[in-house]
Amino acid sequence: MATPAIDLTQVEAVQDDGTQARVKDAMGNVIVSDLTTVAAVKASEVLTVWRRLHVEVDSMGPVPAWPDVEANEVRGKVVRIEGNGTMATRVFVDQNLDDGSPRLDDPNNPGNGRFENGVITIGSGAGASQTRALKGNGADFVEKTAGQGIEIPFVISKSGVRGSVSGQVWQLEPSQRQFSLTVSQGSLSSMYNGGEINVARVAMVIESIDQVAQTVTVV
Amino acid sequence: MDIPFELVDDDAAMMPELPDTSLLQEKYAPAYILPVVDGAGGSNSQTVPFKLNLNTDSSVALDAELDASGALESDANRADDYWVAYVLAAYQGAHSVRS
Repeated sequence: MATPAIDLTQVEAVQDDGTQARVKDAMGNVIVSDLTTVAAVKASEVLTVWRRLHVEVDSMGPVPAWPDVEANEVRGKVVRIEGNGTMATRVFVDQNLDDGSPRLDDPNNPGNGRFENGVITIGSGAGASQTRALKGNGADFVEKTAGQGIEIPFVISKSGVRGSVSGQVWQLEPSQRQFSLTVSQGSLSSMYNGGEINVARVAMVIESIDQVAQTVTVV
Repeated sequence: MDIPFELVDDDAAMMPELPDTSLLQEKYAPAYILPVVDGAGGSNSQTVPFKLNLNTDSSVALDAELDASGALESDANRADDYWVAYVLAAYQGAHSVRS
């Protein structure tokens, strides 16, 4: 008897579980499922049942622009600067940086914060300074990796006084309105009293200068 | 003191960006499940309101997010004989280091 030809090319899937699902007779013999031999009893291929899983795929929309509360950007004012004696390592701000992410100052949920590897721009206009690759943030500060500083340039000048003094701010103590400086060009002296200190292009009037401590107090 | 600052994350703002579902069929096939990205009777929208961080285990809060405008629209279609899965892209695209 000729075996009818059956086209299996349209079958989408065939279960492939080895010898786990086979039909056996009462003697325990596997009943063959081949299509080429003649036998009184034959087994079909294992029937496979497929389930459809309907998937809805969405995406969140565009990141809103500042000042939306969900913006990926925070703007405000610098309120304090901490440093290691030569460079600024922490900048405190007047905004809440906590969005629920693990952060540097949360012992119950420690982590580097939402601004890990972020960028802080301090100052305004063309003189603003940018520091990339931040270590992270706390609720009200950002921090740079140990041994690296946050760029906060300053320039001191005074009308009628030749030359200027420049370098980096490494500390700001707001209660005393006092900047601690690392001078890279020029020399601090009291002759700049009454002059101007520009911190990242933000101008302030100098009240006094401590040449020994390398600090400037502003009005 | 009036020194301004601006702080931004390193994540590039690339939303909306539908997730890559190209591996779904391959990965579900061993279980004899055929994923079909058809919106499950809803629509595959790209306007779910952006959230910076969803920091909650509260089912009530999560339900509220799924009920957001344009979010899980196929919820009412779920049934024993109509399986529904929901995938929502919430990341911001290219990044230098995960944060």
